[in-house]
Amino acid sequence: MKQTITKWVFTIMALFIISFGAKAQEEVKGLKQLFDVTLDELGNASVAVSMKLNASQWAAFKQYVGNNTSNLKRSMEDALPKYILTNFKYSEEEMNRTYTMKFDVNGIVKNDKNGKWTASLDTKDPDVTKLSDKEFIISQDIVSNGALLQQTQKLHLPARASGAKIEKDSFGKAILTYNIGTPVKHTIISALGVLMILGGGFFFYRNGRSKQNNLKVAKDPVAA
Amino acid sequence: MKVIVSDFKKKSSILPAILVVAGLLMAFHRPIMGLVSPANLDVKITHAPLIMPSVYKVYANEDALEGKYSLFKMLVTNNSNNAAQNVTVSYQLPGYIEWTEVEKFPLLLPGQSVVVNCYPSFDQKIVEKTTASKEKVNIKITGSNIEQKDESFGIEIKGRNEFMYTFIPSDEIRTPGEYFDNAHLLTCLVTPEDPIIKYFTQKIQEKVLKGEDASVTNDDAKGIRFMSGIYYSTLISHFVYSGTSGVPATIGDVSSGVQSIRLPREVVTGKTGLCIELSLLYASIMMNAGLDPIIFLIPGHAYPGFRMNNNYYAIEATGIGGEGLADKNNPTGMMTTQQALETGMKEIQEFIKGMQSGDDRYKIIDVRESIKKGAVAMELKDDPNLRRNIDEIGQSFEQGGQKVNVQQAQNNAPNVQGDNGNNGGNRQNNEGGNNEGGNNGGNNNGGNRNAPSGFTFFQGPVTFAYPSSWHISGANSQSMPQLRNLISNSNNSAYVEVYNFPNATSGEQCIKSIQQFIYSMGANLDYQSHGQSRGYTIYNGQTSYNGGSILWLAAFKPSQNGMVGIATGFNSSTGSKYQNTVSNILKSLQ
Repeated sequence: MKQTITKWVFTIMALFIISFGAKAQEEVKGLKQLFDVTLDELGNASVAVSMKLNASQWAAFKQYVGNNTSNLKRSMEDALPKYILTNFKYSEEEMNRTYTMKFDVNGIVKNDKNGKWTASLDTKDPDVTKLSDKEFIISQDIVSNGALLQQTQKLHLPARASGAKIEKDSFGKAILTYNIGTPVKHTIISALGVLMILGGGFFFYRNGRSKQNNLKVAKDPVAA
Repeated sequence: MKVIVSDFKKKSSILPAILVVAGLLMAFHRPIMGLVSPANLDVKITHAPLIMPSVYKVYANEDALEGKYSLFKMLVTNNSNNAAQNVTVSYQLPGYIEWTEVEKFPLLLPGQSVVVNCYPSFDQKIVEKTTASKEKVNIKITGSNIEQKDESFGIEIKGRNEFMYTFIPSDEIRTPGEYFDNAHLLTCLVTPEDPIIKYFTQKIQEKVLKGEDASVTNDDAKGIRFMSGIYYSTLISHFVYSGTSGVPATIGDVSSGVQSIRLPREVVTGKTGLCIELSLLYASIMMNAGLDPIIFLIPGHAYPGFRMNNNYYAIEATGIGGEGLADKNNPTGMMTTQQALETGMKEIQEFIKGMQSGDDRYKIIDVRESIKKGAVAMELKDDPNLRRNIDEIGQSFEQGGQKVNVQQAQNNAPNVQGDNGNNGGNRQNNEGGNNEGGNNGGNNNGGNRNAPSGFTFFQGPVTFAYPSSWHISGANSQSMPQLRNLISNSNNSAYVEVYNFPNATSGEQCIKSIQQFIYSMGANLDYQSHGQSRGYTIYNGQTSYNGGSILWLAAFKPSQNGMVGIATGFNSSTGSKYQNTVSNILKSLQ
């Protein structure tokens, strides 16, 4: 997730800066964005970016996007050159001056052999609220060209994630880590394996004891 | 009895052994399966259309310019039912980069995808490459339980001087500006740390400017003096304007202009340069001297400048021309320093208009900002021969070159600080120096100016001349309270507004108040500070409203109880009809 969330924000910002030019430097105050990021168990992300705009902002936005919503896709791809973005979907509610863009990002979180998953948020000292072990909210205000952008990022971790935390890396950037245990079927198979090893060991032990008893019987002259 | 014991021993050992072996297999089934059950990986590669040696440091830095300039980007997907173990991606560019590991993945789960970005670290010697060549990149993907995959693609490595202006595929180009999508990489050709450029800068500072402290004092006038000094240095040492090859090229899906751009050191020692090359030279020298250089790109042209105290200044570096470029309009084939500065400042105004009109071919390259983002310059070695060339150029500085001398060059520079007088320490007071931050020259008799023909003087909070045919009206109830008079032509398509802002302390406050008022009327107002002139702070900008826009200039100066000034402009639908009129009005301000 390196650089991702911050860059999403700037991408959307850029759309406005392009469309407004400097025209609405003072008007764009208080733009609010919501990023809903859902991570799956393979480290992919489904992202939904939504914004509600006032009348003039909506007019400028429509002027930029027009009927060519692929502009949004291009802008997003330009802002995230390290990633592979797929499945773009765009929808808007004209009556509420709201738009939502959804897309998927491949391999945004990386794993190791121990089931630990790591993603860099590429932001320093983010304002993070942990809602649960699987949900975070990251808030950030950005001022660019006189426009204040209030962004809220909701991060949903996979259902089997545990031990999630946001720490700092050696460069002071925030890093998200969590664990995903092995699937239940693997756990059961491994547990059965351990039981069988123990069972085998037990039988070896018992047979060893029996052998000693038999030898004692063989040495008994009466029994012989 | 021996037989009985032996059978029992055999039978009693088999079952536990089976249990233990089966248990071990089950307990470690994943790594064991991983070893014996192969995984299949699917690979998709996208790669750069070519490599430009001049930006080799950008390629090596994954954080530079958001990581946009990788050698290749690869999506690796495990499309089997078995986890792939210890997957390693390596690559090689024979003759340039030996086999290098890009990334290693300890475990790729079934269905999992990972993205691999390759940022190659080229050796510094790549900047010695002067011609293009076709090369091949080999990629190897290995793992504990995968069959090695070998991939490759061909790529062209350009010469160090060749610059491709866009990597966007031609069918993806949306706007004319996207043909210059790589423009921010031009700062890789700005070489302030080049020992040869440092040496040349020192010569200018010592021999031409006789000392300078623009970056220390942060004084706009001293910055202009420094920039003028560069121009003057190139002028007296007989630099000339000359072209280099620029050809349209198609590489893969990408069609772009590929331009051969000489490095700043080559421009200095060859004493010749194209507009972009001279701009890069100016930027290198100004950056070396601690200024904030800017390169302005407009369709078909580029010119250098700098930013200081949020003001922008430019000079027409190609004004050096050359005798071979003389014509009846320009018999010497070259501009004086004053003319070059005036032209540069005029070009800034045109630049702002172009940018505000939404034409994305008008681009500002903020050199320090681009470098901060990772577009850093190549490393160049010192060269005694080139130093000797600089020494020879330095001699022409000492000999004074042509009839122009430094003092004249300084005096001829636009007096941006106007009445402040002390410009650059040894600068003489240039009374009435024409300097509307980019005006077109014009009449300038200090405080006793004559009105241009057909103009009448207005006497009020400020004094200026306006076209005699225009009519004066007072403010009305809908006007902004600070507006005192409105002077406009018959159809109100061009105008002058006279303002008085009691208690205001800066031009910025005045312009902000006007902006708020414009917003309250449902329109938008953009503006930009444009320096100072004769005690006035100059702004230019655009007011946009439903169905049209107004282009304007404004000037404010302190008065006894606040700020006074004017705003003069014209409806953009009138084209350039009133451009000179507005310019003359501003020039006539007293």
